[in-house]
Amino acid sequence: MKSLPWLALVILVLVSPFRVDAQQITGTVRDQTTGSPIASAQIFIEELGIGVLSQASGQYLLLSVPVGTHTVTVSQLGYRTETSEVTVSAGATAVQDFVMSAQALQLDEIIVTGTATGSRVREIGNSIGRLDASIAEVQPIINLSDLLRGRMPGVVIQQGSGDVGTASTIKIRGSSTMRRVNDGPLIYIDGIRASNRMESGGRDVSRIDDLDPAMIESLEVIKGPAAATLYGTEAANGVINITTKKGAVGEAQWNFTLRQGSQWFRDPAGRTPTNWGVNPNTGQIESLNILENKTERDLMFHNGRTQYYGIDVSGGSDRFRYFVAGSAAMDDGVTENSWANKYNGRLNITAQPSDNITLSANAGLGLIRMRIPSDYPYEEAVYAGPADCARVPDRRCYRRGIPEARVARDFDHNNANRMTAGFTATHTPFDWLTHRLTFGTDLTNQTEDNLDAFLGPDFAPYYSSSGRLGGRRINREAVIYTTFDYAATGERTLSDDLASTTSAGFQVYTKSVKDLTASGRRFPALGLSAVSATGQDRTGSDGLVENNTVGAYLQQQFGWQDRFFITGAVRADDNSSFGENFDLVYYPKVSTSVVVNDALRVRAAYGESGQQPDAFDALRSFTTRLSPTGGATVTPLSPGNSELGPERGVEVEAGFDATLFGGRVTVDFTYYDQTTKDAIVGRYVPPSTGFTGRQFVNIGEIKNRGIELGLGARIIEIPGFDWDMNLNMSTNKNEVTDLGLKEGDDGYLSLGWSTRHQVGYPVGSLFAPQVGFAQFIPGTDNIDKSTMTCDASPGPGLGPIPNGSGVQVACDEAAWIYQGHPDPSLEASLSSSFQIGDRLTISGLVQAKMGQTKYDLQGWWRYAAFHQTRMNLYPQEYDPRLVAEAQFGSSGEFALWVNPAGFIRWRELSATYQMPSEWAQMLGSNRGSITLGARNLAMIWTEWQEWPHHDPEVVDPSNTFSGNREPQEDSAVPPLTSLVLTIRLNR
Amino acid sequence: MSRRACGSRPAIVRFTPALALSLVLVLGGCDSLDSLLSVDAPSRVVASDLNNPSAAGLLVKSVANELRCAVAWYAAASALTGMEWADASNNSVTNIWDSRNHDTSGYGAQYANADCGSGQPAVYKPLSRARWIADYTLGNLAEWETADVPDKAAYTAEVSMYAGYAYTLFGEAMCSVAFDGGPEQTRADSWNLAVSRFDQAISGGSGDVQNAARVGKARALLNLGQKSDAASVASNVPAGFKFELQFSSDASVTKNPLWYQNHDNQSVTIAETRKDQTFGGMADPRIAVTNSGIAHPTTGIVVWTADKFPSVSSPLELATWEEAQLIKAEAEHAAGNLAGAVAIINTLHTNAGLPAFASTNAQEVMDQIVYERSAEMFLEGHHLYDITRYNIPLIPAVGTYSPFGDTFGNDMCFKLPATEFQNNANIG
Repeated sequence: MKSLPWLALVILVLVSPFRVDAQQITGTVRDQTTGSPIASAQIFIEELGIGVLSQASGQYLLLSVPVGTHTVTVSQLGYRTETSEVTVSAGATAVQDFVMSAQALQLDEIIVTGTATGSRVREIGNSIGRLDASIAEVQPIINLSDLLRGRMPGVVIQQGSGDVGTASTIKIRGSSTMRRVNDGPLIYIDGIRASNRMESGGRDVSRIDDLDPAMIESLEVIKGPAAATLYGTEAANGVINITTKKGAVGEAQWNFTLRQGSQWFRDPAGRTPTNWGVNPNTGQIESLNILENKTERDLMFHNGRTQYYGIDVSGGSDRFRYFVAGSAAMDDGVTENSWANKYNGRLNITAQPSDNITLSANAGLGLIRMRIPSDYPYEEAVYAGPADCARVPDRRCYRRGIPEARVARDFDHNNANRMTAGFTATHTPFDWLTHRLTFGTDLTNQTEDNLDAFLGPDFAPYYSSSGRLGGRRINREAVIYTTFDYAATGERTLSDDLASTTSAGFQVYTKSVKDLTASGRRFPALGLSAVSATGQDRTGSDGLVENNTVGAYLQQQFGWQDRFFITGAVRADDNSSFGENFDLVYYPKVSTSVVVNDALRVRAAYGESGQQPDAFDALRSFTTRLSPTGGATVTPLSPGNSELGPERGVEVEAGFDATLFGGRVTVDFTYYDQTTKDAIVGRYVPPSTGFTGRQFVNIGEIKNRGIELGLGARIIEIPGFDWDMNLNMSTNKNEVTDLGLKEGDDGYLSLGWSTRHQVGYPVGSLFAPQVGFAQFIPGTDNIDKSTMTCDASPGPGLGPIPNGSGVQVACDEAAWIYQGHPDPSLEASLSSSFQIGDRLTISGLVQAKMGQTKYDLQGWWRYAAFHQTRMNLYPQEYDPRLVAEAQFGSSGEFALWVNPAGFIRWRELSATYQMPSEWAQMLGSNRGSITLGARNLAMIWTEWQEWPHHDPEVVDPSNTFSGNREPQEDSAVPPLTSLVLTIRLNR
Repeated sequence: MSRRACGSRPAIVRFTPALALSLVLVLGGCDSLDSLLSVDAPSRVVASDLNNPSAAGLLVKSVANELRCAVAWYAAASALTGMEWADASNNSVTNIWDSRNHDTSGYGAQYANADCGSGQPAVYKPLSRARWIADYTLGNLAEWETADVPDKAAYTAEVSMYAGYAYTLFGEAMCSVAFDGGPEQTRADSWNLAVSRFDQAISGGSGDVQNAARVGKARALLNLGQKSDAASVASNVPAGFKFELQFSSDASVTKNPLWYQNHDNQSVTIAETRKDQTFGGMADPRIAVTNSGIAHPTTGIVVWTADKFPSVSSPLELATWEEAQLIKAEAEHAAGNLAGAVAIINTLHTNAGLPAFASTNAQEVMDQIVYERSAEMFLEGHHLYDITRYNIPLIPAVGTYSPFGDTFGNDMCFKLPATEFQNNANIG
């Protein structure tokens, strides 16, 4: 690296005898995005051969500077090198602060790869996504999902809803499995495997969002099988390595963060459908959008307050370093029954009892308390219509009941106590050998508590005779992950040019989920709320699911002149969920990295990793069933498969990292081609064999291809003004290439409703019949079914066809036509940052997702069940083909209800101002910053102009991720708009 | 529960020497590796653990429980598709059952998707499971020695009786059938298999098992059109006999679904044609229904409930002397002995407190037999196939729009679902 000689020089300066000269240069070095001080940056004047390192506070002092004008350079790993001309007068102290921006091409940065020592970027043949989490210190980012959203090519975060605390899903490089998978990518926190579960219940919750992003130093995302080989059998969905903050050598550094803000449902009336119907009070056809009524709007929604209080202290010596942090984040949703409070603590300690031993202990504690509505008040607004205006009791035109009744009845909480603790010992007995032992555990005790209260006379009439009596279900779940990881790396210099690095490792991972559920219905009297106070259906149940992995790897790497690297590895795994007749699985990999020069690196990799079956899918088993005559009996449960093994992800990727124009432009490009072989297909067994569920077999194949592009550019760099832009873009083409079906089958696996896995189409694609010709029966509003025809087949090639463009046949004989797929084909985000002077930074981010489709469940309900769309009342205004699809789709199966869901959203805008020191001192600190940030400011564009209600981005995660993958509209509120003020003080 | 024995892992030994060495060093040998991979499954029974005589009693009880489930949830299906119930909730699932439009796959295939314990009717899964576990148990019993299973004969008879009912209902519910992954067969095939199972139960059983098998065999023979043989078997059923299926409030799967769906969650109401039915000016107590006065909160439809199932644990009759008598009456009618048929009807009327029926017109007598069946076996899983057997007019008629926008169809039997014909190597 260019600045390496200066490191030696700096050290020489530091250890040289102290000299006193009259002139000096001083200042601070800060991160452009967050304003945080940067420690250990190298500040030097090349022509004079003097230099110094910045302190933990970011401050530096260059002594003995001759009078005159000098070029002062500041350099730090991971940042763009900055220079400034500084003039020093005789006897004076010149002040020069530096603001450093992140640099994409960081060849010598150490990446966590699973080996004992990690690897330098230049050695790795894969694309590794690395995200500096410091942005969370100033942006209104309240969880890890928000931190990742739009910031890393190939990592797609699907939004669940705007209700605080609800789940998002994480997919890396598309859908690589056809199974119902509750877990996303593997998560490691400081080397300890942590729960990545998406907990289903009244509402879905992502456990990864328990973490406080402000305590995270960085995230590294290992995107696919080619890079994840060393992580083995559970890594095919990708790996996210989270590194929490650690102490740095120096005096104690205190940070205080205070965040206050508000979040709201922007334009609720404009994003809620208008319903039509005959008002019984007037006998007239009327329309109603109930949220246009301010009284109703104010009863349903309010501005939710968002608060964050964080404090951390870090510091230490060469032998002992520490980081201690605590935070409280309290977010209110926009309805009465929605809030999330998260309290996090962390203690990270690093000790070096001797020069060759490093011990580190990292522990995080989280107390999560959330109220998440499962009975959405907003749903009442979606279905409120004129036809219900005369209902008794007075429903104020709401369909089922007034929203206050829902709030009064629905008390759903999700609480979790979580501890992640790990210990790592790294020992370097010889210069050439380093070995490391990591062990630890991640414990989550979660309670999901769904209470439907017994309703008093005010609200009881809005519910059925049993519903008004309420009930309660409490589910307690203990999730325990344990990690044992031993790894060793030996490095030998074979010649002046050739270096060898050999790594081996052995890992044991265990996972257990133990749950206990109690439930009951119908409280006999007001005020009762315990399960033991219910009068009916009082039941209890428990369960245990365990999964263990044992594996080992061996990796050999050769490096030539520190520029050409080739790496080969193999990993072997066994897993408790493999079938009885399935033995070890082996995953090979080979990669190469060529550093052409400091501005260009070319890389390529081939590798495999896997995804194990679900815990008991291989086991032929029965379960128990209660008998009304007492005791329990057995009933067939799973047909099992003794040959069942893991899905094997096989991937080739190639790309390059480059800097252009003297470092002002950075490019990171990757092409990947991934095949999931032996994909597990949940194939129905014929129910006549007694087992009515699915048998899981390794017979499928899925392909994912795409590109990932990271483009960073300093557009303008003039004194007092910098303009940086970053573009992250990724594409994904997903295709099921084999389902292992027999001759004569339909060629697809139905997932229910209109969703299928079908050969030649993406995983979980939507299919529907399309009416090609229809006409009204003269004099009526009814379509003439006898003359109605549908498109016969999808035609050549992949892609939806317009209604009526295919050969026409009777609709009963028509094929279901491909309508689209649930995952975006293209995701892009464009961010821009302006540094104005030394103190002000303004940045923003716009995000786009294209190519996905979504089922308009609300639209179908409104038409088919509640008869309240305009099409119900004025069908003649519409294309008869669409009316036909509405009138004859008794199960909502027609194409009318599937729509493109691409969008462009203005995601973030913030302004950060670094306080003058006198301001900070007035507040009792040395430095400080103020940030005003906004989130989800506007929907700039939607692919389907007629999204009648809230948001194409909102997708029910239980349907897209773990259930039948149907990307449905959800009646929960959309992503909220927020405005937050953050004050951060450093001392 | 250990996943597998250490000795069955030759791959560990085959693995690269360095890695194998490290594994052994770290783990202390193969036993340690196995213990690391051992997991518990406390809520599952490994299939192989049931293949021993000590499980005989459990299996027999399990067959009874599965059949109870299958019959009860099929009775709900028969009620809703067979015009005894009507949709009150405008639930999309209930609509499918009520409107007689059943697809073989996807959302419209609720008869194939639903299972017993759910809040809607169910057909193919529970029936398939009950039939399979009955034959599976019979196969095991045949292999086990009496010395190991002292009650082997009684068990075999009892399970044969349950198997016979499973085959009988299969034939009545499905347009065609398949068993054990075998080829598609006719309804008659299913009833013939039922007769053979009932014969095994009659010859080896006694008491209630034997009499239930007699009623069942008569029912299967009636379905086969062998009315005389059916009457002959039915004649041996003693007066007052009934075999009831029991329910309890313990869990959704133990509740009587005919109570639950009508009284409790009120998703269905009594069909218009079955309200206030009278004979000779008297309300027929066998079809007693009540206006609950409770409007469904979504549709506003006032729910009527059946008095027959007043509680969650109300029993459901599987076989009765009355059914046997009506099978005899039908045979008498077929033989031209109208007086004999009328006499049987009037015996039932006397028991029910209804006025006597009188007619010498063959059609009127037959119509009355059909009515008597609909009354005696109201909501007991007979009416769906009776509609086909007796060509009872569909009300509402095919093509009629329902209040909820659906069009009534005429699917009066359930086709083999896609889950069967797409995954059964012997079909298609």
